[in-house]
Amino acid sequence: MGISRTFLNATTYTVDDNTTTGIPVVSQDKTAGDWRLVTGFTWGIGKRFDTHKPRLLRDVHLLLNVPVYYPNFRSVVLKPSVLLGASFNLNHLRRSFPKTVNINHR
Amino acid sequence: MNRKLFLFYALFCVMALLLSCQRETISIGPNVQDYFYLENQGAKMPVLVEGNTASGVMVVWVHGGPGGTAIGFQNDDNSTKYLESNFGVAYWDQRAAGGSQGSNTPPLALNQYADDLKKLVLLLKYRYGNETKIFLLSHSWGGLVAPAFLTEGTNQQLVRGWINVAGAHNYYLNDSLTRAYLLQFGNDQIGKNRHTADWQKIVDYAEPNVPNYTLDVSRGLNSCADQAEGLIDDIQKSTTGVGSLLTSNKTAFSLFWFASNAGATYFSDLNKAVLYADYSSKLSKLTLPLLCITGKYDFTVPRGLADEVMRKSASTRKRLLILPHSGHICMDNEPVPFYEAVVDFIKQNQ
Repeated sequence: MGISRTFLNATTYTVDDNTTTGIPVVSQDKTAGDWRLVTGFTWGIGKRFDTHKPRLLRDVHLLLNVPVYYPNFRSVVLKPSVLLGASFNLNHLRRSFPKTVNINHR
Repeated sequence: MNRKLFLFYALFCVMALLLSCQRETISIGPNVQDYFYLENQGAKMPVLVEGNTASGVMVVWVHGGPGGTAIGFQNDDNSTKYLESNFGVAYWDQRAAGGSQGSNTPPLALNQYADDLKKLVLLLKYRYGNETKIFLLSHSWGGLVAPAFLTEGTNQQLVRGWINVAGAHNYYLNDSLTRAYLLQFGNDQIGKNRHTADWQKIVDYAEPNVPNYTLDVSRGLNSCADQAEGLIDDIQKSTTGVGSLLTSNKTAFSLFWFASNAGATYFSDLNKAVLYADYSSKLSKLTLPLLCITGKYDFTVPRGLADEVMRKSASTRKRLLILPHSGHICMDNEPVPFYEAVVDFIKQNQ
C-alpha cells in the first residue's frame, strides 16, 4: 500500500467568473493532480533457469500488474499493465582473484 | 535522514514539478488538435479541441450519460468529416465521466455540471478569442445539462445556438413518455405478430409501473427502451458503441478512467437527485436559435420531449428534425442527414 500523487499531462485551467470586475479570470494550475491511496496485486508466470546450477539468466517472467487507486470521484481506478521481464544473476559475472599475491622484490 | 537520501527525495520532487509543467498550446488553423484540462470544484475534466478553429466557430459536445464520454463516443469519423472540416469542435468529458479525474470532490449534483459548462464556454473564449461563436450540441443527459446552463442568469448570451439531440430536460416526463411509447408501440407490434414474446415482456414490465417512478423503475424502463430498439428492423444499425471503444484508437481516451467514472456516476446519488429534474417551466426563457433532433424510434428519450422544447421555448428561429430510421443514438443511425442538418443550422446562425 502507498500514496500516489498524479500530475496531469496537459495544461490545466481554472476559471473564476465571480470577480468584482465581472470579467472572468482564467489561470493555470501548474501542479494540478490528486493524492490517492494506492494498493495493487500482481499475477505472473515465469521460468527459472538456475535451479540446478547458477546461470547468468535467472528467469524470464510475464506479470500482470494491477495498481488500484482510491478515490476517483468516490470510486476506484484500476490501471493494469503487463510486464515482460528477465532477471539476471549478477554474481555470475563476478571475477575471482587469488587470495594471496606474491610480490617479488629485486 | 542521511544526506544521499535527502538529495534523492529533493531531486525526485524537482523532477516531478518540472514534468508537471506543461507548455500552453493554443492552435488557430484549419486542422488543429489541442488537449487541455478544465479544473472546477475538485474535478479535472479533459477537453480535446479538433478541427477548424480558424472558422471562429466552436461546437461543444455536451455528452450523454451521466457518465458517458465525448472524447470516446462523440469523436468519431462522422464528427470529424462533417463538423471538424467546417468548425472547431470541443470534445469535453464531464465530471465523473470519460477521462476526468477528481478525488475529494463534493457529491455530484446537476448544478455543478451546469457550472462546469459555463466555465468551459468562458475558457474556450479565453483560448480561441472572445468573439468565438459557440454552439452547444447536447445529447440525452446533455439535454438536461444544457438547459440547466442556458436558463441560468445571462448564460444564453455566451452561446449562439443550441442543438438539442434527444434531450432529457424533464426526467419525470421522460419516464412517463417512455412508458407510454413502449406500451403503445409494443401492443401494436404484438397485434402484428412481430417479436411477440419479447414485446410482451416489455409491455408486462411497463404496464404496472406508474405513476411513482423510483430509480429502479426508471432504470428498468430505460433497459426496456434499449431492448425495444433492438426489435425494430427499420432502425439503421449503428457502427459505434461501447465495442468501438475497445477496437478503435481514440485520441486522449482512457478506458480505465472511463470505467471508473461510469461506476462512480452509476452508484452516486446524482441519479436519484435528478429523477424529478424538470426544466419544462424554464424553457420559455430560451430565445436563442434552436435545432431539436430526435429519432422516430427513440424510446429512451421519446420525441414528446423535443415537441415540448419546440412548443415552450421563446426562440424565433427553431426547427424540429425527426430522423425516420433512428433510435436514441440518431447521430450514429443516420449520420448524413444528422450532420448535414447540424452544419446547415450553424452556418445559418453563426
